Amino acid sequence: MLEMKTIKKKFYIADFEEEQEFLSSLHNAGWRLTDIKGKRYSFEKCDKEAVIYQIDFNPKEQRKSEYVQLFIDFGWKFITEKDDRFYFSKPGLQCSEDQIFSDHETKMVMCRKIIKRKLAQLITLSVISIIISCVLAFNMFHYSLFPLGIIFIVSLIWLGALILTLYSTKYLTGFFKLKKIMDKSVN
Amino acid sequence: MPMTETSFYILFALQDEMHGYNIMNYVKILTKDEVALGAGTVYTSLSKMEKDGLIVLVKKESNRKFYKITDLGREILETEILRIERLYKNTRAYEGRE
Repeated sequence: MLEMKTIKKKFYIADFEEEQEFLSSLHNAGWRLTDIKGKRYSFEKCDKEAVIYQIDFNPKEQRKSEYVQLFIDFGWKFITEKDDRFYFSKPGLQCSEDQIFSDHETKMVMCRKIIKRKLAQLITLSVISIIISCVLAFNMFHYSLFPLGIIFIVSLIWLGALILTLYSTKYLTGFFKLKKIMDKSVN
Repeated sequence: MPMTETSFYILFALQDEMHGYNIMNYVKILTKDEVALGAGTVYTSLSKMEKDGLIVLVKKESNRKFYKITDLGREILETEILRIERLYKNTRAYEGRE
């Protein structure tokens, strides 16, 4: 029976280069990626090989089979798809086309898609936190818990601001990382 | 706006009907292995060029999409070839004077 293992790890979309490295290094150590469910990466014991892993972020893909077929034609093995991220691998020996993006412009197109997604997430989170604050504040006043309510609201606002700042920091770091990738020439 | 090298070669290749992998091979042979297009690059470029009306989907065979250049694409390609020729001619002529 094949030996299996799972590793729990969280990668944000902007960290796709780190994620690729992580998967390659595991394959180098004899663990082949088989599936990803949420934060759980499943691996299967295999020979220690140099294998390149590449992630393509491709939201709103209507015709997945045609999209995947093109990559298969180019010698890529399709592993799995998670949150619009498509995972491909290829033995490292075929050195000529070892990256899915051979020019800067098309890699930038993918980075822009990621930025758009991150921005959408940030806006959604902001709207949700504002709505929650409003509802809570309204309830506090409605039940005339005025003095206690004020303290509660202040602490809630503080908490909300904290969460938002933390999220923005994460968002900004991701953004700067993407900008760095976009500035860096592919070749 | 000048075209990227990738778009230029893809458009040039699509003067004949081809699918993604054909294009990569064609360009590889044309450039004597100097330009090796990546799968993601080809896919992204084809989607964008189809949206811009430079190429058109001709047929689908066993999950592969075959594209061909449109009249607009041909016009753009011709303009680009003339631009590159002019660049080449002018710089070579300048080199000759030195």
